Parts: sequence; C-alpha cells; structure tokens
Amino acid sequence: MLSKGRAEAESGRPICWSIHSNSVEMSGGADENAGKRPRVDTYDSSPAAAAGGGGCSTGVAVDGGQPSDQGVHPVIDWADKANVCRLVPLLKKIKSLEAQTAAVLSEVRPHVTPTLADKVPGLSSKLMTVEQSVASRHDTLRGLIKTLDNVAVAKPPLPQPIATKTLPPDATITQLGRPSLDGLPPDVAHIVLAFLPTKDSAPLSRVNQSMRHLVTDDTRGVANEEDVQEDEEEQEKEEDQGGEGNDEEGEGEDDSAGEGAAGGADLRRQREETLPILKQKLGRLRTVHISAHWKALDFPLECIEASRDTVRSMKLCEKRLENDDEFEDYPYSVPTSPSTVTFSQLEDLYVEQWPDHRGFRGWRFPSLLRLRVGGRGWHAKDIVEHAPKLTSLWITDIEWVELCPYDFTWKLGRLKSALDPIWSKDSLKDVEKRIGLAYSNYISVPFTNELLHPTGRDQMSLPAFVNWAASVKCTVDWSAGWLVIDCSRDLVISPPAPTGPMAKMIKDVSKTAYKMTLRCGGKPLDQSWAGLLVFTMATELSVEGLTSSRALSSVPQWMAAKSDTTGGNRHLPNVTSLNLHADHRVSADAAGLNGLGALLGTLDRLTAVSLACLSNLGVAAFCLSQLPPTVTLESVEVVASVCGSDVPATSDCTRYPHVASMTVEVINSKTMSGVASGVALIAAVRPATVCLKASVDLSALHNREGGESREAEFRRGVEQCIDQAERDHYGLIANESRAGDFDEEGYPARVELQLVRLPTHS
Amino acid sequence: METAPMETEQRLVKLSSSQGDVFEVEFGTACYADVVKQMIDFTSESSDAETIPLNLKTTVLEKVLQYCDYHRDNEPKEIPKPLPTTNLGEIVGDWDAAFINVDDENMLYELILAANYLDIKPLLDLACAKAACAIKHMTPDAIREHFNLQPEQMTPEEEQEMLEELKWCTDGGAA
Repeated sequence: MLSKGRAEAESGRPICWSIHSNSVEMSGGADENAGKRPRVDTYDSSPAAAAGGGGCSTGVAVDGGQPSDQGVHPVIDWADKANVCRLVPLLKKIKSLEAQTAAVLSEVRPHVTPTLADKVPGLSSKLMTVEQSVASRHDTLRGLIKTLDNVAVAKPPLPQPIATKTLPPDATITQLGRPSLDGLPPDVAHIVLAFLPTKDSAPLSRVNQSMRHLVTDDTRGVANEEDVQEDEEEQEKEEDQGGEGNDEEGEGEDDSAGEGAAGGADLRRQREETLPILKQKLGRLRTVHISAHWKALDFPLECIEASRDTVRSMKLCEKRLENDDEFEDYPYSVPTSPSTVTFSQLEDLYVEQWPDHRGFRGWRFPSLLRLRVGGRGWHAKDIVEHAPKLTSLWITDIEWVELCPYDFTWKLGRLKSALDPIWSKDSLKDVEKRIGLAYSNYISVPFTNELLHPTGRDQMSLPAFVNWAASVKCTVDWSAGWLVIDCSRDLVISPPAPTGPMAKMIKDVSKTAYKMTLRCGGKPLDQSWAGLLVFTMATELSVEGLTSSRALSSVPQWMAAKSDTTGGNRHLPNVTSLNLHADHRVSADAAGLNGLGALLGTLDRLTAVSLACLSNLGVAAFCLSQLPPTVTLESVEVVASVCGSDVPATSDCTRYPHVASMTVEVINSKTMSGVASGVALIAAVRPATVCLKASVDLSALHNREGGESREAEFRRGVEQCIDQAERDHYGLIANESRAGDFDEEGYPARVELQLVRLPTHS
Repeated sequence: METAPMETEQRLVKLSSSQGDVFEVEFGTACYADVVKQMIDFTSESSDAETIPLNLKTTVLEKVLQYCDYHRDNEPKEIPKPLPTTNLGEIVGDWDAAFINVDDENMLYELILAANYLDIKPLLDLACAKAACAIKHMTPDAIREHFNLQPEQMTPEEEQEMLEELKWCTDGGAA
C-alpha cells in the first residue's frame, strides 16, 4: 500500500522529524506497520508540525516537566540533530552531579544546629543559598533536557530550484517509460519481481500479456530461478506435519483431529495434483539458490536434477536450526548407488554447507569452470573429481592450519590428488587455473615442522602443494584474517625467508590479514622476511610473550622501518589498535624495551592501546611515551600488578600523546602507594577522562594497635589519592570505592574513581 | 595535494530538470548518481559553469537530490531478496522508509525510472522494494484494477491453457 506523506512537502509546509527516547507512532506518511516499532527519528506531520514555525508537537505526553516546558517544542535545523543527540546525555550527566551534590547537602543540614547557626554568622543563610542554587540548576537542567528531548528536527532542506532555464522552443519532455507496473523496462520490472517470493510473483503472470512475459521470461523470469527460503521451508514442514497428523490420529476421534486429517488429505491430494506440474515448470531452471534445512531438500533436489540440462549457476546451503543437534544423523538414507545425474551446462557452483550424508554422489559436472566451497564440508574433492573443465577453485573457512596441521596437510594431499589427474591432462595443461584458500583461523610464520615436513600417508607439505600448483599453471590466492609472527622459538639462527611460490603465499597472507600478532620470547625473525611481511590491511597489532627482559629483544628491528612516503611504519601502516601483554618480570629500565620502543614510535595511526599484565606502571608510562606524540588515542587501558610506585618523574622532554579516555587498573596491590602510582601515571599522561580501579589486599595493611583500622587506613589512602588527583587538576565525578565485606580474608578492598581533567588556570 | 579533494567537494554543480528548473547542489551530492558524475566529467572539460540537463521532472529531480544528499554520508542498507517482510522500516531504516512513503504512485514509478536512468542502484532497489510491497498479496484482478490495466483479449482455450499452467502456484486451482 502506498500511503500519504508527501502532501506537506508539496504544499510548502515544513515536514519535521522528532527525536524521542521512547517509542513514537508515526503520525502520518508512514507505512502500515510503522507505528508498531520504536523509532528514533521520523517524519512528524502532525497538525502542529504542519502548521509550521515553532509548533511541532510529537504527540508524546511530557510528564513531570515544568509547566513552561510543555508548550515549547522548537524546531531545530537538520544539521544540529547530532549535536542535540550528544548534548542530552551530557546534560543528564551534569544533572546527575547536581543530584549528588544535593544528596551531600542533605547530609550537611543535620549538623547545623541552632546554636551553631547562632554562633557562626551567615552559616545557615549561605548554606541555603547553596542549596537553592543546586536545586535551581537541577531544575533548569531537567527542563532543558525535556525541551531537547521533544525538539522537532526540520527535514533536511530540499534542494530548491535557483532559476528557471528558458527551454528552446522545440524542447519536448521525453518519457523514460510509462510510470506504471507494466510500463517499467523489463530489467527494472525484474528487480521488482525479485523482491517477491516465487509464490507471490508467479500469479502476476495472470495480470496481462506484458506481465506474463515478465514473469515467465526465459532469462530472468521466476520459473528460471529457484530460491527456496525459510518461509517456504515452513510451509513444507507444515504440510509434512499435516500428513503425519493424519497417520497418527484415529479416524474421527475428535473434531479437530478429523479436520486435521481432512486437511492433511487435502494437502496431499493438492500436492499430488500440483507437484508434477511444478516439477515440469521447475525442470528448466537456469540459476538455483537453495538455502534450506535438510528436511526441505528432497523436492528442491528433484527440481535441480530435473534441470540438469539448463542449470548454469547453483548455490547450495544447508541451514541448521538453533535446536538442531550438531551430531545428529540425518534420518533419511541416500541410495548407496545413486543414479548418475550430469549437469551439462553448469559453470558456477557455490557450496556453503551441505549434508555430509548426501554429498555429491552421482552428480557429474562436465562444464563446471568455477567452484567455491565452504571449509566445513570439504566436498571439493567429491566435486572436482567429476569436473573435468574446472579452472577455478575457492575454499573458505579453513580452520585446521594451527589446530591440526595433520588434518590440513592431509586435506592438501586430497585436493592435489583430486585435481592433478584433471589439470595435468593435455586439454587443461596450458590453461591458467586458480585456487583460493582462505583461513578463518590464524596461520603463523615461520611454518611449523608439521606443515613443512609431514610424515603421514596421503599428507602433502605446504611447499610441495605450492610447487605442484605452479607446475600445473595454477595461481593460488591465499588469504587469512589473522597472521602470527612467531619469534618465540629459541633457535640458534632464525630461518631465512622462503623464496619462489612460498614467498608469494606469505605475501598474500600478510596483505589480507586484518590482525597481526607478534609472539616474542625467542629469536627475532631474520631480516630476509622484511620484504614479505607487509600488513597493509591490518588494523590490530598484538605483542605477546614478553615474559622476560630478554624476550623484548625478539622484536625484529626491521619491523620498525619507516615508510619513505608517509613516515609511518612500513610493515604496519594502518594499525589503529595495539594490545601489549607484558609479564610481571619485565621492567621499564630493561634495555630490550628500546627495541619495542622503536616499533611503537612508528605506529602513527593508533587510536586504542591496551597494556596488560604489567609489573609496574612505569612500563605503561614508558610505552605511551614512545608512541608518536602526534597520535590521538581515543582509549587507553592499563592493567598492572603494582609492587610500588614506579612511575618515573615527568621530565620536560617526555611527551605523551593526547589521550581522550584512560582506564588504569591496579591488581592486588599490597599498599596504597600502588594506587597512588596510578594517580601519578594519570598526572603524567593527562588523559581527558579517567577511571582508576584498584584491588587492595587489606591484610597487607598494618592494623596498628591503638591506631587506625585497616579500613580507616584504606579510606584515608583513597582520600589522599583523590586529593592528589585534585591537586593535579582533576575533578572527581564518582567514587565507588569500598573497603570490602570481610575483615581478615575474603574480598579485597576496591578503589574505583572516575576523574575528569579540569581546565587549567592561567 | 591534500586540498584538491576538498575543493572538489565544495564545488557546486547546476542540474536542470526537463521543465527547465535549475538546481544548484554540492558536487558530492550530484556525483552520487554515476550518470551525473560522468556528465560532469564530460562537461567540465568544456565549460565549468555549464548546467547539466536531466530528463526528469522538477519534483522527481528534487526528490532524487534529497536522497543523494542524505546518502552521500549515510551508506544505505542492502535490501534482501526476497523481502522478509513488507514493513520496509525494519529493513531499510526509518529515514529510507519515510522517504519512499510517497502518496502518489506515479511518483514512486517515476522514482524507479529516474533511479534507473541515473544509475543509482540503492534508490532503484528501495523504490522497487516499495513497489513489490505494494503489489504483494494483491490478486491479479486487484492489480489490474489498481493500475488500470486492460487484460488482453484471450480465447477461452488460451485462458484455460494459462490457468492450467499456473495451477501449481495458485493453491491448487485457478482463482
């Protein structure tokens, strides 16, 4: 149904969007279901909106607002919509702070006794002024937030004609087509039909002759594309259930059962009548896309096999339901000797998932050129053995490289043994072929011995596979989401980078990886790898295995090379996220840290840094100070087990990048000075907002006889930290610290402070 | 070097409708339509201030430009085929659903033709999806009536043949 909504625009009245936090019904110009869903912004063509000017009512009751707020519904510019969206939560935050102030003030009053008020002139009146001021600010903010919640946003201005061009006298307005369903060009009409399921589009052929041509068109008509989707599966299942109901229920046991039985009989009869016709109609498919549960596969398979001489492109995907048992045996049997079906025209086949039981037994693909197979099924061998013209193969979701090198090399061996007889034939010997292999898990270099020298029967090493591919004129496209550079092995000499086809493979994998992990602890990778490992797509860098100061020397020096053109890192030009996992034994003064520092100094596109498992916050300060001072970090997370206050004093020459938000977490500190070192780090780095967390082992604090308790000492320590932060021009937003539930053993005390950097006074 | 794209972005382009109305829009908005971009590339070689004539009515061009202006910075969502629901808002988002909610069917079909002419695939898909929603569940008779289409004169034999052919998809019999 086409609904109203344009009248306002054409009549020159403003059309408005409204911003609400709650669900709002579209008050005009909406599709039929629009009112049933929550909306963030929408047209508001209510009468008030249509009246223009400042009156754009949203139709939402404003509860609890100031009387003066209710009548104010300003219309703001479209360009300011985003500003309002950001403004409201900020104002709510200020309001929350005012509420906190008011809460504290309420605790003040009981302490102002009449006698005290008499003795201290102005105490009561000044406190009242403060209270009134807080209340006034709170109410003002509340009203302002409500007003902003209800503002209407003007529709983006329509482009207006700036002039009218004089048309030549002989100018005519030519029609691009008749603006009606059957007046659309065939290509366009097919796009409309493609949005309808087959069962809805097929009946349109009864509209008239031109629609009939569109619907039954040999090239793109509905009878040439089988697209089995979920709703049709459901229909089929319902039919199945109807049939089962008939078998199980006794005849005439009750009315509903009788109706079910009759319905099932009707469905079966209807099916018996229509299926042969449907099969005939669907016996000349050209493109096929099956995405169905295995229970709904029988009929589509019949149609596919009936279309053996017409189908050119096929995509097969078995869908699993959430409650399907992963290891469920398919409760149907496939004939042990299925009849041979030859798809004489099929050129493209994409198998995403396919029931292992069904496989592709009996199917032949004499014309198949391109095959794409999801990794789980690994049906490639079954297909390629019967695809004598295949020249392009793409296998995705390979998971076994690291998890099971044996399995991976075995798959390579199977793949080669399936393809070799076809590709070494005279007819295909000189034809260029292509294989794509995409790892869904990570692959690491240098390759492990299991990948390079497998010993099992039928296994094939990576280099042997690559060399074989080259020998049959096959280009292999490798890709991986995640590549690990493994420098953790304690080798005497690092293996040099491979050359030839293996070098190309490593280059391909590096080029496609979006994540790179540098694993330290052993010999750094040889300089000869520098030419292969360029991670142009990688946005995430992790450094692991920094278990000792010696491990820091694992960072290859060549990885810190700068690009001649951009000045950034040559090997990791687009890294925006850094995760560094150190070890408690690594200290800031370790000489090896300089190797890592050189690498950090070239990461000029970082926006997020995570530094974990640090032995002291000095390492964090050092790492951050090594980053290019020009980078702007949106978030920094630091987690450390602090033994003492080790943050080096800030010197004039130490420059930190700008940090918007920083979280500092100190784990299991034995003293409050560990927490203080967190404040010192904050003061050095000066992030805009900070969350300082710490767990403090109270049992380690002294419980001095006659002195303050551990809890009191803890609270005093927290106060000192806050005091220090305020002296460093930070304001406290929230203090969620607690001393813990148990005195002697149990939960450690927690410090949690939210701080904000205050403007510095001149 | 870095300022060059900025200058292009701020450049204004004049487009005229088939009714002679001239619109001045930002380069980025105009170039959302591939065809217009090609025309700009072509005309900019000859004259910088030349108005690009488009074979679209003023109201249609205005609507198309509104779409381009919004989506040049907001990637439109891909629309699945077939449509999982006729509630377009759930698929394409509120802005697109409201945009395509034109009360005049002629405008919808004009938009389809315009998107096809200007090679704006997301708009073409959106408008076609809207048209598909509109005709979904309509009987052939209702479609004929709705669009004022005349059925072809068929002999009773031809009609019977067609009904037989369509039996498989009409719930077991001819409607």
